Amino acid sequence: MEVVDRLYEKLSRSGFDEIILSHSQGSVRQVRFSGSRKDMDAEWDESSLGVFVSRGKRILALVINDLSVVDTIPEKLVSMISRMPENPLFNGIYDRKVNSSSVSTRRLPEIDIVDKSMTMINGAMDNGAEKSAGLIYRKEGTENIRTNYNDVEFPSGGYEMLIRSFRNSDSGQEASHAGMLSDLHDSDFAKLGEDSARNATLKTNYSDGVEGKIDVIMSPYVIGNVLTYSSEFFSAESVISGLSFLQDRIEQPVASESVTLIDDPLDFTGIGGRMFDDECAPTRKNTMIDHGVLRTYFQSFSTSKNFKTETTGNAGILMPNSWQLKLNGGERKIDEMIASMKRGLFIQNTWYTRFQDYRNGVFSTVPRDGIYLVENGEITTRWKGIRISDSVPNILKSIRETSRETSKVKWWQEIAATEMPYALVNDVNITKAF
Amino acid sequence: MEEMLDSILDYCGKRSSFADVRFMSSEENGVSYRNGEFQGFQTSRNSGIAIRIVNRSVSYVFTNSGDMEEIFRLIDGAVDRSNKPGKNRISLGKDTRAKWKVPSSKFPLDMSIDDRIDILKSNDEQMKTLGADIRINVLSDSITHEHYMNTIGSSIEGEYPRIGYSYVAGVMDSGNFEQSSAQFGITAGYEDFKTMNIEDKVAGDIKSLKNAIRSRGIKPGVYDVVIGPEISGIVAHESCGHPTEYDRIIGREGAQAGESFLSGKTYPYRVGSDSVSVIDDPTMPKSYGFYRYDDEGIESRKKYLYHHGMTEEFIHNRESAAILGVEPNGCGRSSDWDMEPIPRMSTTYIEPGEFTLEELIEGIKDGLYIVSYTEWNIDDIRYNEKYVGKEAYRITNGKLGDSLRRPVIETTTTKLYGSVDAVSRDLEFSAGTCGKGDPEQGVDVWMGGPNVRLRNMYIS
Repeated sequence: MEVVDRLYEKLSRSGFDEIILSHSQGSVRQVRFSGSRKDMDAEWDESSLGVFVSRGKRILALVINDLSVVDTIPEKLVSMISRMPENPLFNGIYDRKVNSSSVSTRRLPEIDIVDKSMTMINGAMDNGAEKSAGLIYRKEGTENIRTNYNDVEFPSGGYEMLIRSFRNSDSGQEASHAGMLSDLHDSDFAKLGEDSARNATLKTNYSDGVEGKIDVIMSPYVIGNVLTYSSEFFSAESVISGLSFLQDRIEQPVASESVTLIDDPLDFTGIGGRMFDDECAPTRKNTMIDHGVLRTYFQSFSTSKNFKTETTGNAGILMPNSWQLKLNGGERKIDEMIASMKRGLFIQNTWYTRFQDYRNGVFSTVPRDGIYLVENGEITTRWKGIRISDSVPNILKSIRETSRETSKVKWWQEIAATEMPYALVNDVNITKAF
Repeated sequence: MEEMLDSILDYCGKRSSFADVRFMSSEENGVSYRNGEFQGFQTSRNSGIAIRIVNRSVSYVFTNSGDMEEIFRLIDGAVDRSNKPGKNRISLGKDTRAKWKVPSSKFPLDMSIDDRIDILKSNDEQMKTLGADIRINVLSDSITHEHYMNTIGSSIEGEYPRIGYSYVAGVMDSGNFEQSSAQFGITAGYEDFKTMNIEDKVAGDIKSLKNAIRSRGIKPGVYDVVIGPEISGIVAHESCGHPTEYDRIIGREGAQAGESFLSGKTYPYRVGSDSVSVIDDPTMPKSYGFYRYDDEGIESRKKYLYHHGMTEEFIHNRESAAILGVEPNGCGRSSDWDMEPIPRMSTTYIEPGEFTLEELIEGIKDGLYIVSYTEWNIDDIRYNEKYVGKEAYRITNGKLGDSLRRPVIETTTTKLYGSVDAVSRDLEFSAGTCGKGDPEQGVDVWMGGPNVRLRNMYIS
């Protein structure tokens, strides 16, 4: 793009050691509904330009979306960076030449999201829902990242689908995502609606929840939420800050042997797929936990130097972060897991996860959309008003089994784009309101 | 800019039953300091236009394009979509023309980088001296300009600076760890920076962490409790402010932040004792959530959400007010130019009473005083909530005793508000960033209250 080229040329003549320009441009459509009727239909047509410059260990970052002012930027940055203190932990940006010939040019499939939102709603209403709320997003754009060493442009985008169905005071929710290489069908949207209604009505009789330790089958949404909120603990920046329970645990067991957790940005059937990170390092599939053993943190080029390792291709604007987490599936189906459970809970969803102790991963989260009691292999009743009050290290060490089925889940700010199975976790601490 | 907005509005007006256009630009700066070392400086300049079209349904366009042909093309698409069926009720209100500005003698633009870094360095050093092992300090500031116009003749321009500050501190002792997060904010320039009293708060916070880490928990049971202003503030926000947002009550947030325990009730509905009232007030000068007009051009005003234990008024934007059949009350806020204005809080607080803190404590035989909190959360209908104490003390026979570690209140909204028997005359505020909407919008708020006494609460 001409304006980006012009800015790069000016910055490269301004005495900076390293430069990153990241220009994103795209369109987002959203149809949102509640009470089974459309609330709004919105379109975002946006572009933005991120600028990162360094001189020695002095760094500076700028984001603008008004490209008409780019000619004023170099002088401003020169003036500012000379007054910056050094960041002693900064070690430069990714400096190897990447192969940009592998960039996909496939366009996102065109889908009528108004029509598909009705398909979801009808799927819910035909299966017992009294009303439903949710949305569909269609996101499509291009990212151009230019550094001293590389210049690549690649497509981004996908779909997000969300529906929550209600019957009396009961609710069930489904939230999924699909990427550039996805193959969505009408039946996929109908199924989301049907499943959300079914999950709301698995059992409608309530009994009082009980405090204490109990086995829990966590749905893909529950384990997805816990791992989304825990993903920062895997970031090298959190470890450096002293706010991660994973500090000094590389190559040590941090979870049960049933747990293999990977970050997979190369799966473009999900919306978390991404070809290059924010400093133009190629992304890659990273095994974070391998059969219970912690293998790596999320690293950028700069943080990796502090750990005497290599970048994992996870550089973000502020800190290295995950792109698309996947927890491995197991042998048995969810129905078999429930059938063999003597006494435990089957929890459908959770939200509002908050930590009281980052160094030990102590947190609580509030289950919603169905908390079912399983007795002798049967769902017998549902609870309400309980909370999972435990720690992430305990949860990871207590995962006994994961289901054969996995689902692509992404929900609002609560679950990042992930692919998760059901997970049986032993002796989860439950508390309740009095 | 006004000429451009006029052209857009004129184009939309011929194609809709109602339309509004909002231009917003902001300049933001953020600088961080971690464990004695400078981390980085980030700055952003963002601007764009939000256009709402109402016909058979509501459609939006958000664009930062300056090309009028492109904007008209986007509007044409939005008009087509708005002619398809959906909800379309919106309160028109009255036409208003106004300009407002928060004056400042030291705008963020006048603040040097060196001065910003000096603030962070000084607070980091203070934390270290007091014994904090982990220290992250972040200073942010912004100046925002907004121009709202609609097809019934309103035109409102506003400009305001905001300053925010946050820190995370951690203390380690014999293998144990205690942490604290705090946030401060004002809608003002740097001349008022010291009113946030960050140094005093840091000093108290680190001292209490060092006490708590060597303390024991309380034996679970039923106690009388005094909660401090930081907790009464988060209580007011979470279990009064959120459930009285009328878009939640009618289910518009059903798949995200959720509905409300007040959905389907007959109003006014009794939530708590006569002793407790909660106010939302965007007009409080220099508060973090201050604004004179909301992002839909409605003048802001103070309102009771709960009054003597009963629901009184709800939080509305133009859309939710039309659905209930009332006038909008100036609560339509958007966090940025590319977000829709939805019903939001501003400064939400429990109204002070007549007692002193000492009188509240003297009235307790066997209980505790929980001054501040760490972890908290609440369910999606805003009924089942939890607050974990950070600084807390035992009360025996009306006197404060030993420090306690992490006492937990896990209760319901009606139980909590129903247990209030006395409220102190103090009033303190904390800053926060309130999340809601999809895409998620974080808006600046204050949360506040006095010391509040609760009878017969289960504490674990």
